[in-house]
Amino acid sequence: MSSKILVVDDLQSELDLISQYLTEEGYTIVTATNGAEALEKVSQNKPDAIVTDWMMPEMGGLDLARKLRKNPETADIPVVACTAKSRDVDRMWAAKQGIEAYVTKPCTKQDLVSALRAAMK
Amino acid sequence: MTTQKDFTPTDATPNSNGNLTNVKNPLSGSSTETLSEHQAETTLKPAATLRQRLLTTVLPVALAPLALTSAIGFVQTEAQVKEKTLLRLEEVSLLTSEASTIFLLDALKFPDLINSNSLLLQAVKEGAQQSEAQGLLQKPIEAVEKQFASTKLLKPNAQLNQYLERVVRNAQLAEVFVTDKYGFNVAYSNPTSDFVQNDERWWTEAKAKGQFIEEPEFDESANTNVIAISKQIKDDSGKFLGVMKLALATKELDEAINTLVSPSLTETEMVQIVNPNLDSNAVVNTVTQQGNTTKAQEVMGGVDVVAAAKVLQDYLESEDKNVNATQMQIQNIPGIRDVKLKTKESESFQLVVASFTYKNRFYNISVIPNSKLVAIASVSTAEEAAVARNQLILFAVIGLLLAGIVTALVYWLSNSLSNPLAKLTTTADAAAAGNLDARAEVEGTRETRTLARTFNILVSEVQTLLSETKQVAQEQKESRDQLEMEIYQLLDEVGDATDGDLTVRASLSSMEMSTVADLFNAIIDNLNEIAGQVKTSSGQVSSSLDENGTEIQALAEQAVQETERTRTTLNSIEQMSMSIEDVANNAGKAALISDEAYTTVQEGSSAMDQTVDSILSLRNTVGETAKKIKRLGESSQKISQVVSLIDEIALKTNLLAINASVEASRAGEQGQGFTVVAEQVGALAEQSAAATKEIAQIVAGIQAETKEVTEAMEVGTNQVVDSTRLVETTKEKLAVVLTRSQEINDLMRSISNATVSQTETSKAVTTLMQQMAELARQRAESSTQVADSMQETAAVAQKLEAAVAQFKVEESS
Repeated sequence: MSSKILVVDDLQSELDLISQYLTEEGYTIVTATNGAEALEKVSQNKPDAIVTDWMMPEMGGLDLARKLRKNPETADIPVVACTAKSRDVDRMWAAKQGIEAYVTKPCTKQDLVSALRAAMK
Repeated sequence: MTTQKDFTPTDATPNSNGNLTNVKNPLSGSSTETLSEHQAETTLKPAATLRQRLLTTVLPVALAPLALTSAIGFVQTEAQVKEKTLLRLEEVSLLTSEASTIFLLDALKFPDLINSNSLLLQAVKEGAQQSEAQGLLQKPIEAVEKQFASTKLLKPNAQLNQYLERVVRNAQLAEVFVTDKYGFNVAYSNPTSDFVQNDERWWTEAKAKGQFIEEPEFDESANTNVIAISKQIKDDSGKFLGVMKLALATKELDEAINTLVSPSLTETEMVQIVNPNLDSNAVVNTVTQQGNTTKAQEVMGGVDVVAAAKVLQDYLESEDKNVNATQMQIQNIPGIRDVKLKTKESESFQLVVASFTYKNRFYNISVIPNSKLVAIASVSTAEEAAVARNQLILFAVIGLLLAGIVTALVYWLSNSLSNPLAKLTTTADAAAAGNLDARAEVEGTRETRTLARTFNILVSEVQTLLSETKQVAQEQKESRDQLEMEIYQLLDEVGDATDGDLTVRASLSSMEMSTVADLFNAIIDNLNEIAGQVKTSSGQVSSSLDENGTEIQALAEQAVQETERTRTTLNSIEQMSMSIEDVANNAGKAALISDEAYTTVQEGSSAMDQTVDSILSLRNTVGETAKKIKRLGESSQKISQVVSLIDEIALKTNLLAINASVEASRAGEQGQGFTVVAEQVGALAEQSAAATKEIAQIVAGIQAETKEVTEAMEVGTNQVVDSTRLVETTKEKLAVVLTRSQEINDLMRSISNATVSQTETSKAVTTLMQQMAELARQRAESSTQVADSMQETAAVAQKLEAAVAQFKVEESS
């Protein structure tokens, strides 16, 4: 039984790339293009982990994380941020908002997978 | 300093210039500041140029030692010149002294030569014999003079005189003459003025000391100074034979001195041989560069120098030879300074030299031994000063020449050092003013060349740096503008939240601002949630307050009523309590009264007992009285029996008395007295019978009365028995009363006790009821307050509802 990963990004190309990386590693992929959609997908699919972009229209990645943490049913789902924001202050803020792992774009497959594994431990 | 002042508002205005530069060029603000400060410093206080500095610093450093060296050289040379002058003067003086001494010593040999003539010795001895023979010594001198006036000789001896004349001629002496040991002329080269010489000083001195050198005298005839030498004439055994005196022209001496000294004299040098003891014609000889003259001259320096010479002579003649005292003495003569005293031991004589300065001349005085003469050498200080002046001119000229050369050198050096630096400074000023294309010329010394090269590199570096800085500043400005735009956008997006619109969202499109935007979103989310919760809660509060309000109101009213009831009950209980208290008081009083009654009954009972006792004792007393009365009755019966016996006796006695009287009548006269007694006894028997009758009567009375008393006594006894029985009965009844009153008393006490405890209980009940009333009152108040609070809470909840209504909240679940 492979782990189910919800990948969230507003850019289709990114979505595809991350999906490809994770598929290669044997994960099952569910995708969403923003936070609101991701919340729906979480309740429908019960993913094991979420890889999300930060800067998205309507609902960003950290918004998503906060909403997940508030709901006891979803509070334990590990969330990995995959974003172009690379400053220390960004990492700090993200960690405060309940992001388990942080990967800066552009990222290698190795980066992403190790971060995901670290988050899921 | 400026930065500190920037913070204080009062200093802001005067310092506005500094602020302006800071604002204009914030990156290079501090450097411009220090530059302007530097410029201000240079304009305020113009510093000396390097050339000036070098000239003002190096020149004195080079010239001062030069001047100092020249001065020291000059002073030293002058001192040497002076010393040399003085030394030569001393030499001249000593030379003169020595020459004079040697001359005199030579002269002293003449007498010995002359004395060796046996003819002379013979003549002297004969002269002495003649003098003795003629007794010349005893004669006055005038007479002797007169006696020998023609020849002036004791015994003219042509041969001896001729010998002496020859000696005088050959030895170039002035005169020679000889005396015997008494002082009379024996022989002479020329006739003398006196014949007797023993009164002359030279004669006595020579006789005493062996020889005597007289002060030189100017001899008009010889036109020269003459020194007279006197010496003893002795035989081989040393016996005093006479005195020889020879006069010596000093021309020899003068010439000798002249020959020795004159050539070495300078222009102003002068040597004088002086006899300081003479007031006039003191100068024996004067030697100058031109030669010598013996003509009468004044002593150079006058009396002061002569005085110094005298002091020196005194020193030689003194015994203690105190150099310092002598020097002080000379020093004390007015006008004389720089005194130095030197002594010099020779083989046969001692030399002493004093040198000093007096009135523009250096003096050097030496005493000529064995004579009264002194050699005074002097030279004009002007001569020494002239030499010194020449030296000074020489030194000054050389010094000035050297100074000129040094100045020229320093000037050239400073120019060659300062010129490149001055050019470099100009270039640096230009660069500082903003012309960064300015480049320094590489010239001058190695240091200035290096400096110029380094400066050029520095300027080009600054140029590069400046352009880079400008570029960076431009980039920063752009990024700042970008950031400002993004902040603007963010504010635009979330600005409505300040009016309570919590539906706004910050977009995450900006890379820089998205973290802040996310923070805003998080906060707004939270606010949203809280506002929603508050809205719901306040609604709930309002409605529940509405429901509960009436119930609580009713509760409050009930509480008030309850309080009222409690209060009424409390009043009743208080009244009851008061009644119980009254009862208790009365019971207490009743108990007291019954107590008193009991006591009274007890007292009555005891009184009754006493009465019974009294009655009983009365009955006994009565019984005994009755018995005694009975006995009295019995006794009175016995008395009656005795009385009857007595009556019988009295009767019988009376009979006896009648019988006795009868027998007495028979006995006649003798019986008469007996008849009288018998008659008296008869009378007595009659009286006794009468008394016995009376007693019988009394006893009969007593017996009757006793019978009555006995009867009364019997009645009384019966009465006492009756009353005793009555008292006994009363006593028994009283005991019953006592028992009953005891019981009543106990009852009353228990009643009193009961009422007391009842009172206490009723008091406790009252207190309890009071507390209950207080509690009920408080409960009523509390419930009223609760009701009020509920109303206030309702009002607050309404306000809260109204406030939350401002927020525009997302319509979520």
